[in-house]
Amino acid sequence: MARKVAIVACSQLIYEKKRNSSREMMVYEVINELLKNAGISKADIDSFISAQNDYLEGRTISNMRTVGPSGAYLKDESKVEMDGAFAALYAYLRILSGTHDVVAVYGESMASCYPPYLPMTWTLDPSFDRQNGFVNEISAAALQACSYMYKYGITEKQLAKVSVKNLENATKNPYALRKINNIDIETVLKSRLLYSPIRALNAYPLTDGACAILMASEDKAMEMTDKPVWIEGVGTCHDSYYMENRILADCDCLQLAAKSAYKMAGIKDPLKEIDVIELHENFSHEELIFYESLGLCSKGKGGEFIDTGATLINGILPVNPSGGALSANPVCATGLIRIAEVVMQIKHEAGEHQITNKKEVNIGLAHGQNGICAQQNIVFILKGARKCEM
Amino acid sequence: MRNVAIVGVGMTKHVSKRRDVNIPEMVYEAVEAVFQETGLAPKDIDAFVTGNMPAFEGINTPELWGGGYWGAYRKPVIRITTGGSTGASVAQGAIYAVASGVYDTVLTLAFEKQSDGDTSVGLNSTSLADFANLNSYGATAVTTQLSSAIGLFVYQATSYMHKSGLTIDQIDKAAAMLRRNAAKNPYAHLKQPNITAEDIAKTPMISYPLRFGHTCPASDGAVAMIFTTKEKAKKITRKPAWVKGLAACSEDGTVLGQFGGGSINIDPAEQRSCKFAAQKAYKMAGITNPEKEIQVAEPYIPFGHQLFIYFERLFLCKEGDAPKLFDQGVMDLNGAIPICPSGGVMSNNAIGAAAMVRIAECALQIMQKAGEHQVTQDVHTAVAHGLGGSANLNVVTVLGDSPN
Amino acid sequence: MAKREEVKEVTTNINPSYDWSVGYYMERFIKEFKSNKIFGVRCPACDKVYIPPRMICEQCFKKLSDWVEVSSEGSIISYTIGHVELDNKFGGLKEPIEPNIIALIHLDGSDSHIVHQIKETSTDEIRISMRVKAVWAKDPKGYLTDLCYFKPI
Repeated sequence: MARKVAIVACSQLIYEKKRNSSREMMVYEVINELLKNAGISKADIDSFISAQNDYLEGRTISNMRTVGPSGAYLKDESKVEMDGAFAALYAYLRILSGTHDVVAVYGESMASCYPPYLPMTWTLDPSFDRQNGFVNEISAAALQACSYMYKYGITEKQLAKVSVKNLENATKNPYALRKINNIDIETVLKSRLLYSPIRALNAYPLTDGACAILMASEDKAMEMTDKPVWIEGVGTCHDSYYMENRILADCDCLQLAAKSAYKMAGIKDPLKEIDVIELHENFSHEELIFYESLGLCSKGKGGEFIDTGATLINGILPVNPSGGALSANPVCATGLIRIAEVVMQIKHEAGEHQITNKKEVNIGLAHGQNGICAQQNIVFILKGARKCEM
Repeated sequence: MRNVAIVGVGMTKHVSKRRDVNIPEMVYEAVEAVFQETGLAPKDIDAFVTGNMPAFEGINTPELWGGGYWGAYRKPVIRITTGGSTGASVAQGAIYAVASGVYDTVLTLAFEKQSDGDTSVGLNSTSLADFANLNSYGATAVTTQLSSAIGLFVYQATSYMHKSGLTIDQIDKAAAMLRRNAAKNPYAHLKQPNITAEDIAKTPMISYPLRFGHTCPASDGAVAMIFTTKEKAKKITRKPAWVKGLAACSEDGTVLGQFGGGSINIDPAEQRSCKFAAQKAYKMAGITNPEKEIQVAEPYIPFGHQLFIYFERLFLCKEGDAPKLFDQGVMDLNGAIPICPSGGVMSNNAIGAAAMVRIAECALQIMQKAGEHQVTQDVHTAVAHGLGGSANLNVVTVLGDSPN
Repeated sequence: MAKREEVKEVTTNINPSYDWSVGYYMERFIKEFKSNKIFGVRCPACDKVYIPPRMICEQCFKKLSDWVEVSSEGSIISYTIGHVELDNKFGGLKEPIEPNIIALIHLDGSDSHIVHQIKETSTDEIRISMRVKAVWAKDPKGYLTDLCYFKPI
């Protein structure tokens, strides 16, 4: 590929249960923050890609009135109605095509406007699953968790370890919504049972929030920052809707997406070569399954892997040092937040939740998912410049 | 930009109700058609880009349910939705996907199954959130008037008529012309081969100056296109259509803006964003004199008066000249710049698909596959346009008959 | 900068009514419930039998037309006990009247899993690989609701 694309800046708003703001103000604030962090004005941006979902917004053509607040007035603007990481993919494709040099991507939603649970059921087959009313995001996740635990002997404690790790990490992340100081396995196992075995602390919190990133072609990136974070690889995959084709104890779709991304980035041994991972885990058990799908450990060993402590913030391969989706999940923004967090880690700008036990954090993996039980997955491999290369 | 070729188009017949199929099955017909046309199969497709107007059918992101029906099993899929211009935005997403070099062959789909849905709620909810506060003043009529499509376009029509001198009977004639064109298009919804301006004039006024006869239908339909690289195109078809230029531009929502707070976009007939998008697309395509260099145009015309507005905003004539040129027959099927030889959105409107059908129709004209509604002159360059949102999202694509 | 006041909120109802066409495949599937039968379709290429029936086998990309009756008995592949349910009005979660059991069921003769509810068993007894069978409405009319639930055999 001739062109290289980098992420030059990102911005996040503090995630809240109920933001005292209209969504337009929220978009305006996150974009202004982005412009400030990038040191540019909106005139320097060629195009804007937003990630919003009409049902979550309660508005048809939800991007029609965020044109102004996002700075896209009289600019090329489009909307990807998926998780924000997919919007980042579209921005990446636009820059690679050569017709756009600088693209801003933002994603947002407000669960306080309407919780995402029902809109997720509207993705179901209207003639069967939706009519029966048994499948929803949490019940489907619970079926997956149950089948995963049964197939590989994963325990509730191992699931709880994911929540403990992420919510503990979140206490050092000023943006995170759900932070629980001194959280332990007991606390997780005592939280409200939703659909067994998924408890409230195993599931994402309802969140209002927005995130934005700025991508640029190589020339522009070098002008705008001395710490560009390069996109080395991306892979995405869309799996079957039907439960039998999506083997619930594994996530083959993520495995395929990761394989594509690794190939593009030249990664042969993810456990050794990657320094930080930010996963979009709506539920604790998903993170364990994702360890396996990403090739960090073999199939069925996700529980053992977290037991080793490898994915703690001071472990050999920290996963979700930001707290992940379990700490804040503004649907449509979450995948973008994963990208932003990896960028921050690579630039050494993650503040209190910066990974410090490594010589340098240079290669990161950011993951986004869409659909019930991660029906669609996307993986980005991001890389900073080694000091000796600059 | 890398050369991007269109090697195939597949469409379903657009009708008012397809009761025999559900959404994925209906879209499958368009996919099957384009695979048959090109001799390709899902294994040859590197990515799918899809979109529709989600609110109408009440299905959230339908490709999650239907993707497998369309060959997208375990493939990359991107969903793009931008209201009325969705089809064009989706096609542009596919063009960027191929131009980027990441994906070589991309299948793009757009569709709508309006008979399954609740169109009036879908349309109202474009603005409900912004005008809900007006409801407390009892202004419910305002919401319906200004948020549903016709309410807004009525202002566009009257403004344009005032500036250009366009008359209602010219709109009647334009509507009749489009419906007669559609009669030659096997995929169109409203085909009326013998319809006259007088027949249109007899239809009741919805809201001055727009009559029922000036309005688009609500259709069930789907369209699929395959974009690929120059190297692969050669192996698939003898005469592909080529993407020469593409651009989109968005401006402030019309008239009432956000929360009823007013807008910079007071005159919906101005369509500044359309002009910007057209300028950029033409520049990319190397077109300096569109009036002479474009042989076919497919603007997005859900209402008859827009034929004149977009003819001007796509720079196919000087501002204000469109009514005069229409009377001279310039826009006829055998005129100098035929407008919507397919019959346009006025005859065929599955909303999510409509803007992509415009691009598909231009491609068919260039590939000389438009059958009965093929225009008489050789088509070297065509321009397709999509309009969405509160008349504030414009998407322009220029196609040609040779690569760069 | 002045302290931001509480943003005003307006709550509005959006009440769409939909009229989904189910297509011939689902139509037959649902109508056969009247005779207490469950039908699937078989893919000629991979031989898999799908429930609910559908027009296309996604993996082979073939159009399906071979109807096969499958058993109304099967095994539980996975299950969950719902201690919450979705609030259809305000969209959040609320307490159900009593915990309900939802399971992923593999019907004998099919290669599919469907999600349905399990009754006539306790939350302590439910387990994976339990054998279950369909319980039909007393007066089936050819509606989806004719298949009421599954119970242990």
